[in-house]
Amino acid sequence: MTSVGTGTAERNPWLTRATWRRILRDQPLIPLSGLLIALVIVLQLVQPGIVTASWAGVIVRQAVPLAILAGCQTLAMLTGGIDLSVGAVASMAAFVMATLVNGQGPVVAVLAGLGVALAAGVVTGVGIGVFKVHPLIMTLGMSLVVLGLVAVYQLAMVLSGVVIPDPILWLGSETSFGFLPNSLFLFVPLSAVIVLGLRRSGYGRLLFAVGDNAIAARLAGVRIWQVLIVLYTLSALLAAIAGFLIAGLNKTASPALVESAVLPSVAAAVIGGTSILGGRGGFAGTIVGALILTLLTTLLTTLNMPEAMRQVLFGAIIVVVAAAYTRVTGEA
Amino acid sequence: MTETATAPTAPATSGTPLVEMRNINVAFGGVHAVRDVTIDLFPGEVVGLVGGNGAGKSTLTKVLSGAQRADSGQILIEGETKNITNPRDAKEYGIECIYQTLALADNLDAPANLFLGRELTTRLGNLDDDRMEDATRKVMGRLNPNFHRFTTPVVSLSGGQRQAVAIARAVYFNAKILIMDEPTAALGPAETAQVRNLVRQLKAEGIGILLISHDIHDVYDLADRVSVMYHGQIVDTVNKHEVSTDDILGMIILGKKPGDVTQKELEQLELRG
Repeated sequence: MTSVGTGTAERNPWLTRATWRRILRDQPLIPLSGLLIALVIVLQLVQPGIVTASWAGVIVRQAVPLAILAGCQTLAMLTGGIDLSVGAVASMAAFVMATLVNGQGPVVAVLAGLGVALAAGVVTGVGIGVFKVHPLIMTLGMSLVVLGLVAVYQLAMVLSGVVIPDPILWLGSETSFGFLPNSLFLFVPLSAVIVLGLRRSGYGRLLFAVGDNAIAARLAGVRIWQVLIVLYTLSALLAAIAGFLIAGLNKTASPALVESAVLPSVAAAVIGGTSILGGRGGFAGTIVGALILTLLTTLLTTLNMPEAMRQVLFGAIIVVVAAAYTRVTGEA
Repeated sequence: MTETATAPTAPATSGTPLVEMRNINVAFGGVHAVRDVTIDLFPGEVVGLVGGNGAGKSTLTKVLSGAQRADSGQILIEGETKNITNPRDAKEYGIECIYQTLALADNLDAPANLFLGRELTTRLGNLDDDRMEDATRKVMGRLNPNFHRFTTPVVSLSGGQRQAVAIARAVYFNAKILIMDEPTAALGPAETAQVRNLVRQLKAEGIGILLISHDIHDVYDLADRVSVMYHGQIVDTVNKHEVSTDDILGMIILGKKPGDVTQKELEQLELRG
C-alpha cells in the first residue's frame, strides 16, 4: 500500500515495511506459524475432513526426522557452514545398526550405529576445523566416502539380514493414545536441549560468534577449531538419531535410506529463519520449517500430482520461499 | 575545546620494562613487513607508534597480541621471555588489543561481545547474562556514561559506541598492556576527546599503552615517547619533549632522523607539506 502524504497508513506501525522486516528477522516464528496454519487451512479446503488428530500425528511423525536433520543444518549454518553429509551419515548409522541386530543384539547395534556416525563426524570436524577445508566441500566429500564405505560394508555383510529392533520401530512408527507419535518422546527433550543450548550455553553463544565474525572470535581467544570439531560431531550424532527414526518409520534400512532428505533439511533450516551466512537463527524456527515442508509434500500428494511434477513444484517452492525471505529481510 | 597539554608526568623509563620486543622479524613471502624491530614499553607509559601506510605498525602489534607469529625475535614481558603464539597466550600475559576493525561480532549485544570467549556462567553451567550485563554496565559507565543499549546487537550502534564496546572489552579484563590501533580514526570530536581522556586515565593507573595512529597530533598529545617506523624498520624512538611534530613528520615521510635530513629533502618536504 503506497500512501501519499501524512495518512494514517504511515503512522500505523503495522503497515511499514521496516516493521514487517523486523518481525521476519527477529521473530520468524510469528509469520512462520501463520504460514503453517494457512497450509493446514488450504489442505482442509482441498480435501474437506482431512484435518484430524490422527492425521496431525502422521504429519508430525514424518516431520520429526526431517526436523532433526534440519537441526544439523541449523547448527552448521549458525557458524556459516553447512552439513551435506547428514544423509549419508544417517543412512550409514541406520544400516550398520540394522545389520548388526541379528548377530550382536539391539543395544550393541544401536551403539555401533552411533559409533560410526561419531567417527564420521570427528573426521568431518577435523577436516573443517583443523585443515580448514570449506564445509561444503568437506561434507560433500565425506558423504561420498561414507557411501562408498557403506557399499563395501554391505558386500561384507551380505548374509546378515536387515532387522529394525522393536524399540526403534516403536519410536519411529507407532503412536500412543491413538494420535501422539512416539518419536515425540525423544524429539521434545532433544529439541529442548538444542534450543536452550543455543540460547543459554557458552558453547551455543560461540556458534553464533564464529558465524558472525570468525576473525573477531579468534582474536577474542576463541579456539575455533574446537568449536567446529564439536559441532560436526554433534551434527553426525543427530543425523544418526534421525537415521534410526527414519529406519523405524520405513521399517527397513538401506545404504541410501536418507539421501533424499538432504535438500529438504537445508530448506527447512532456511525457511525457519536461519541465515546460511551464519550468526543468526535458531532451532525453534527450524522445527516449524520442517513442519511446513512436510505439509507442503502432503498437499502436493493430496492434489494427485505425478511424482515428477511434485518434485518440480517442491524444488520451486523451496527456492521461491527462500528468495522471498531474503527479499523481505534484506539478508540471506 | 580546552584541550590542555598533557602535564609532563614523565613515567620512569628505567628499571624493567613492561614489554620488550627484541629484533622482531616478520616476512610475508618476499615482503619483509617488520625488519629487526626493537621497542619497549614501561608501566604507565604511552608509546606512540607512527609511520606511513605499510610501514609495519599493525604487523608489529599483531605479533604482540598473538594474531601474527614472528619469524624471529624475542618478546619479554616484565623481564621474562614469553612465547606468544595465539591471542589466548597474549591475553594470559595481560595484553589486550583494540583492533582498527574493532573485531566485534555484529549480531551479538554489547555484553556478549565484551565476554566473547570468556563467557560468565552460573553454577549450573548456563550463561549468566545478568552478571555479564551488570559488569558491562559498570565498565561502560566509565567509558561512555550515556550508553544504555545493552541488549541491542552492536551492528546497530554508532561508531563511537562500537569503539567504546571494543575498549571496554580490553579494559575490563585488567590489561597490563593495551594496544590501541587507530582508536580515534572513526570517531567524532566529542568521542575522540572521550577516548583521549580514557587513555590518560588508564595511563595514570599504570597501564602501558602502545598507541598506533595516523594522526600525528593525537600521538603528540598523548604519547610520552614516539617510535617511528619506515618500511618495516624503526627509524628512531624519541622522547616527545625533545622533538617537534615536524621532526616526527619528517621521519615518517623520509625515514631519516632529523639530523640526517639534507637541505634538499627538507625543501621537498616543505613543498609537500
